[in-house]
Amino acid sequence: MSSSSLPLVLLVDADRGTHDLVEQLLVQVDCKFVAARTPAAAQRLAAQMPADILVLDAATIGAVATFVESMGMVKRAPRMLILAGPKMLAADFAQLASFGPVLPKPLVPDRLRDTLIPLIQLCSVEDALGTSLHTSSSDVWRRLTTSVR
Amino acid sequence: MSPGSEEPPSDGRTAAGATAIAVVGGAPPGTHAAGDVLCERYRLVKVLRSGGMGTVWLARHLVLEIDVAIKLLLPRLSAPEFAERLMREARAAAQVNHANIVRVIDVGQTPAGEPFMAMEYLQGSSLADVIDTRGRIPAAMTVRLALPLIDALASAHAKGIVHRDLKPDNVVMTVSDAGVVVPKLVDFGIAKLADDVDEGRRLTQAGSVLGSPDYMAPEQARGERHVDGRTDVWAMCVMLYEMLTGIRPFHGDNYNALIHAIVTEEPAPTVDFGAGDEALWEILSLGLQKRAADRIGDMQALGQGLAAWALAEGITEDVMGTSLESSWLRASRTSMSFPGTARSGVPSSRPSMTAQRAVTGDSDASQLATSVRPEGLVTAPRRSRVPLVVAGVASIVLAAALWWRARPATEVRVEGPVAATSGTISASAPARPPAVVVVATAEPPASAGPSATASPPTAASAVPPAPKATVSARRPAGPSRPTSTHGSPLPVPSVPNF
Repeated sequence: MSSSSLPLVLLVDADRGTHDLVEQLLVQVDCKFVAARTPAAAQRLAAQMPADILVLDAATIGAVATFVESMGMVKRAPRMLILAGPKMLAADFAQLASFGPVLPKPLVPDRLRDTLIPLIQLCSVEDALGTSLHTSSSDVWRRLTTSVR
Repeated sequence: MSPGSEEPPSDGRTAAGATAIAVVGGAPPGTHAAGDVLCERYRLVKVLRSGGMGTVWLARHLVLEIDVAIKLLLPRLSAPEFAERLMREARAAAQVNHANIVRVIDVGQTPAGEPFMAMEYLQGSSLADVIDTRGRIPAAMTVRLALPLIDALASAHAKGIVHRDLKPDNVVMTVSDAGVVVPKLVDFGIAKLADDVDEGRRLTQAGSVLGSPDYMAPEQARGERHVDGRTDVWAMCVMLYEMLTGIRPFHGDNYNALIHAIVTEEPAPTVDFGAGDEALWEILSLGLQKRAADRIGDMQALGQGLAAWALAEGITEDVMGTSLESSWLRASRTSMSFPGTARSGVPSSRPSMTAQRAVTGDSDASQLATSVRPEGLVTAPRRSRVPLVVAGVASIVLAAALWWRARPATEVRVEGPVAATSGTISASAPARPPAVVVVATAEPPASAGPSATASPPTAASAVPPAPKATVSARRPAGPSRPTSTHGSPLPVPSVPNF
């Protein structure tokens, strides 16, 4: 769990559309969110803030196991959600599924939400400690995201 | 002194204004407790935070019956130079009357020599808390949050005051009674009066390093004596980077490695983290130039660049609801130049936002329903109440944008003689495709090379001695919003109604 006790979601995908989609989805969810469009940027992020949940585009990162290992996350065993291309072979799909749920692209927002949110909730349940510590900043965040001007 | 006990009558002077000294009675240094009364008017309630310099108490002003924050220096720091520094902080903050800077109410000193400062009590979270809680902040929200702070700093700089310790910890996000988030700058602890160089040298010890390492500008990291508003520009851009990406642009495993990174390394573009777009990164990268002379010249220019970017994104107000157009781009200064030196002491030509807070447009449910920004921000589109002149200038800019559209996305232009360290921002009204043109002109050093082939963000440093370098960052032509991977376009923000 990240330092603030809220689950940290790291998205690695070269497609900005995915970034926008995930960011929209998570803006009202109690979690931290960071993103990278390249494996190198992901490694920079991971070096400073180990993620609890990885949302990985298979086409961006290449081999999942190699990528995760390169980020030094093997022992942390983060939960993973894999995004895969639409024309993936069944064998490849099965291999990816060994890391976590696999969602085919193009992403369907509802399916993404229904898959990602439970992962976050699972992390939150695992470490409920500290939620109260962030009540104040959560309140500010709520104001930011709901203020009507 | 036990909690609840009354302070004996003071035998000293009473503070009158931020710069007066009030001698108070009370406990020995460092032994204050809840219930102690300072200066016959401040009852200490509880410790809010303790830092390397001192302790901040929540206190009750017994006369005004309001909560205040009392900053007490640690006893070991009650030496005259530290006391003088606290007084400088009080003076610096008191001189800038701005809605986004914490208000100083009083200063004083205990008989034991402990200086203290009374400030308005801010209830909220620090920006650092928000970043720590959320990871990163959506680009639109980042810019909306930053602009009031940039305005506050522009006001401070106009009075010759440089903060020098900008960091998310020193931004408190308060929520007004109306439910509006109001970011406030605190802790001018190492602020420097730009026209007070000699005193500054004496207080900070020439060449000593002050400031939080992660947000230090290279010139600060090198311990250079003279820093000015561009030091704050750097720190603000580091903050913006962190807000956008969740991490700071420079990283080191230890202090020396961090300083080395700040002085020598180029940060990874924010677009690598999917934060904002190329145009936004272009602005930030100009604020993160290693040489102060190559950097965006002042807060005004930074604010205008960000406001222009925001308008191009369809954002019309900052987080406090202030119209970006009226506060930053009034009369659509399509090419606003700034004086050569761009020092902190240069007065801003724009009135402070506090003097021109625009009442923003009315809203109705249908408008709100269509104006939910992708990042979750809800903005109410404004009615067509923008002055006619803006519409006229917008037409000109639209024509210019169409012309720009046919040109390459990024270019370096050589136009003519370089004006030293000056910054120019060309900001357009939100015509589509949006055009944000940031122009940084810099006086090259005597040793500057003759070629001018560099591309941003290092263009300014590579300009030949004579010509002016113009770095233009524009969004590529075509749809400005991304299309989601599920095939349908993402919600398009409402275009401001002109």
